[in-house]
Amino acid sequence: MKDFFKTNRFRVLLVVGALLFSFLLRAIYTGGLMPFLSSAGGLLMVPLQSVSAAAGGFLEERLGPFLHAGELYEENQALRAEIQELQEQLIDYESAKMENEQFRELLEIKERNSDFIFEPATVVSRSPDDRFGSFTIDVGSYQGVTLRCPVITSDGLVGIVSEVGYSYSKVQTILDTAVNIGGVDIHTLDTGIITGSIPLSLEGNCQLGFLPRESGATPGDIIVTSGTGGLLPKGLVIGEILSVETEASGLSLYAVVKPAADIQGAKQVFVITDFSGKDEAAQALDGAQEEG
Amino acid sequence: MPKTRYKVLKYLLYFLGGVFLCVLQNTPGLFVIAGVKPMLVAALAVAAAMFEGEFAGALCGAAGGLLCDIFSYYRFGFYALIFFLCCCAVGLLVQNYMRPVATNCFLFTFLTMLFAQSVAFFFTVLIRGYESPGLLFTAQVLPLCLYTAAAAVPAFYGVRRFHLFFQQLLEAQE
Repeated sequence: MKDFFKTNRFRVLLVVGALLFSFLLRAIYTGGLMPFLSSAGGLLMVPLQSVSAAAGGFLEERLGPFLHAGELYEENQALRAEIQELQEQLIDYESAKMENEQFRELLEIKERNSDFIFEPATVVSRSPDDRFGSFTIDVGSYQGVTLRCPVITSDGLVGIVSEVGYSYSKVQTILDTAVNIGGVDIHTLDTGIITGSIPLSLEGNCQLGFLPRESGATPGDIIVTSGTGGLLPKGLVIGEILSVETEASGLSLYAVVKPAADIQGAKQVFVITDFSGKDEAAQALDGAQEEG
Repeated sequence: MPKTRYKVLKYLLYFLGGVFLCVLQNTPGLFVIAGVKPMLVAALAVAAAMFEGEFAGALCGAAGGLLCDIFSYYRFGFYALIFFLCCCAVGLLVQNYMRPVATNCFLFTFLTMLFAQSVAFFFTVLIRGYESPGLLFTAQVLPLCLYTAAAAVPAFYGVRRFHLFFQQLLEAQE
């Protein structure tokens, strides 16, 4: 083994190691930007991954009922309970009317945002090492996607674009501890920061932190993006409050939020590539990405 | 067919196998058990390093790592560097001290994954002081390492058969 360190092979390995280290340094230095090798790799792998994802979806559809009989039974039971609950709600007309008004409000938010430019995308990859449901989509800078573009489904916000390649992008979800998004309770108008937390993300939830102690936020309230900073548009549905807790410091409150979108199971998403009010802060980030 | 061509063919097939496994491991919903998926490319790289020695093993590790990096949660080049170092170490250990058996392959893959994930965990979670890091480590990181190590056993037998097949071809040439 001592001889190995004196051989030419060892020197070659040292050179390769140094090259790989420099790739890593370059990736860290350029922030979210992918180096050439990564983009080239993406060009090769994304079409393969798209085919594989489509085949996986087809097999899941065909074999799913047989493979998940137990889950389907549980789901059936849950749906029965839900039907019972809905019937009770129908009896209580006033309650239903209030809910209807709430949904109307959400619909109005969607209708107000006619300025959005959407880019439909398919989830082509979910890496085994993702911690918070992050994934890769099949649209990139070629389709006009830039860093921190919001990614949504018809139900609500999923996350933001964290890395952009030529034909693909990586998405960090709102379950991620590294994501911080301004959120507002549409009922009380209390604002806070939507971010992930390890215990909550394992349950598929996130939190609205830094709520004032006198906040009137209650379970059932809907949380939408505040639009502060201009990085994200205002009024995108994030989720519903499950509970309101006191921070460990005791200085403020945080709300446990159940995301409206199915983050772990999302297959089709939309990237909002542009919206009115996408201000200079966002454009500065885009500019920095292009220069990098 | 000249000896060099067989070698080129062997490593080309290793690479194509790596691409195939990379596509499988990243396909949404495939091989998921309790929310955990195995890193099949890592299993293949370690198994290849056990049979091909430190030099070819290290290069297989680097190539496999680059494939993993394309869709990884972490910075590009992270897995390439880690797998390069670990596969080189695995190659040296098997050439000098340990036997190429399935148990060792399981152990090497587990340790390689544990090393890679622990480094990543340190820089992305621990150092930032997030709440309950231990929960994430036990609920996601350790199962990922174990699942990948379990996937290394069939990879070991596949690579061994593949290696022996090419070894016989090369010996027939001599």
